[in-house]
Amino acid sequence: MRTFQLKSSDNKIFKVSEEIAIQSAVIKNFLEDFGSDSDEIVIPLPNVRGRILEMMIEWMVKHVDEELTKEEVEDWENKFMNDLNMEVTTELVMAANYLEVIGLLHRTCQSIADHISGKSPEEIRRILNITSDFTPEEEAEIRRQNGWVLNPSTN
Amino acid sequence: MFKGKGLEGEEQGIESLCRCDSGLRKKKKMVYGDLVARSSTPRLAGGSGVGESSGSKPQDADYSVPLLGDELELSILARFPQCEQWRLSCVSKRYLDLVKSGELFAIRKEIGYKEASVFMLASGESSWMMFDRTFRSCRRLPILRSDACFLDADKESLCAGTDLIVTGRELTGATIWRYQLIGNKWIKGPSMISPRCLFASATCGANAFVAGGIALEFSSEGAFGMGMEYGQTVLNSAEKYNPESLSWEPLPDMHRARKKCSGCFMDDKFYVIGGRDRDGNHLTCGEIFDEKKNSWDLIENMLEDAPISTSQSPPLVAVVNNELYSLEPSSNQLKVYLKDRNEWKNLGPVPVLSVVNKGWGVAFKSLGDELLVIGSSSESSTSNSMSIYTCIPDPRAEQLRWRRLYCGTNHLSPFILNCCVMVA
Repeated sequence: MRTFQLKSSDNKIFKVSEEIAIQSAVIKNFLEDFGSDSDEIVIPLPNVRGRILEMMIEWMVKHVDEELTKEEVEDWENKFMNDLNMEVTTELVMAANYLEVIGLLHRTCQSIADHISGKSPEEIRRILNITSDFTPEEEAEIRRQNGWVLNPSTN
Repeated sequence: MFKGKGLEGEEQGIESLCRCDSGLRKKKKMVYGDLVARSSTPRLAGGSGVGESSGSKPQDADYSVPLLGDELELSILARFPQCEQWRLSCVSKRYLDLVKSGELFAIRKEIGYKEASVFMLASGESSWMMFDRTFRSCRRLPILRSDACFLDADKESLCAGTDLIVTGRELTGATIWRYQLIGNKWIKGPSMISPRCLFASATCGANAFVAGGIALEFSSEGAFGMGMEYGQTVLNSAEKYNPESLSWEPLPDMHRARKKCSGCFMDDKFYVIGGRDRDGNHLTCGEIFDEKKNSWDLIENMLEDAPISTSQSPPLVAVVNNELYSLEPSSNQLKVYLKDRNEWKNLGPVPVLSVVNKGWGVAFKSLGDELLVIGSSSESSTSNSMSIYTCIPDPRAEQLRWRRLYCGTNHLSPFILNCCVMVA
């Protein structure tokens, strides 16, 4: 099995096998384009820092591990995602998008969506760093139109 | 399997690094902004309600979320639970547009993301409720501005795409009201070709199918309701709702006319099960409509031939992972249909009392990969409030593990008039 080196923005080098690396559509295309002549390829990833790349690789390693059942991978992934704060999750979203690791992209987007669901509009604004451009009257009107019961448990 | 090696190896890598780098840039345009714009398609660029898209100027677009691009932000928002989307509409004008324009649903479709939501009308309530699949959040739908006749009369509900279809009758005749999730409003129509009640229905994606039932027809006798009457005509006709043309299309007739039958979708086919014939005889046969063949197949003796009270509800059936389950009100037992043997296998008791009202008032539905049952709990003494249970069914099991969910709105009546699940 061929191995490659992935180089992060902060010049950390990670050796990965082809099987793991090709979960990234971008790396897969790159390797196809460059043929199989060299085991010494270093793929620079100037938009991903070492810590994030390491986490991505950890995720990719788990997802090709044939000794794990689907449930075990899911359990692992849930724990993996739960342990992350929003900042790191956001970085992972961008890295997964950049390298087109679709499974990880979906999972991390879901994780952020789960995090903001159940939050009040004010909290959503704070988390996503959005400033309301409604006048107080407009906002009151929208809330009235959407006169839907709030989540009873948050009342 | 992998090692972080720090700065080591930088030297030796320079040549290939440069080569790779230029190669990547040329072949894959490996600039962050470009990748963002490319990974989601141009749909977002021109879509309504998105505002200025980052598509054309990825590097310096005015992101409303720091670091995240528009595309990624949208693909996160698309995963926000439907029943909480009103919260997003209060966040900012742009978010309001996203919710109102249906843009988020378009993205859901594109990324293949679906979510099951439960719509329900409990006895004594004037408005429908919508729950997410965990029942942690709920929402009251806008009031349906219909007449008193519609509010009081029996109604039936089914989902098609992002529409909830409610059939019933008003003073002036048979009526269909449609709640559009996108836009959050009720709209009247379109009417079925043959308006009916007590029919079988099933949903497959955006399409809805109905079959059988009692014709709601104009009677010259004019016994009640401005001449509208539950006629005695039992139908064998079937229709399909096409949400694109906003119309009902006729399907071939079933082999048997039947009322109080139930429907479901399994193995890409529309099943109509049980019910009663014109003379009120209990039908044990089922019928399968195959859209590819455009014809119905009759399955004799699909249901067990047990004596059934004439006032019993239509069969309570639900399909999970292409397995058909039935809740038998007479015994309060769950059964699974063994297709190859045309037999039913018992999967133990259901924790909701279906026997009291002969199956009426109990919601039995599929919810993703789970079965959902709502009604009066058979477990607790405080059974006069609505209880919700789910389980992941396993046809091979002897008994299933039901899990009780708490929705917080414990003031709802346990008698459920209508319930349907929307997957969109």
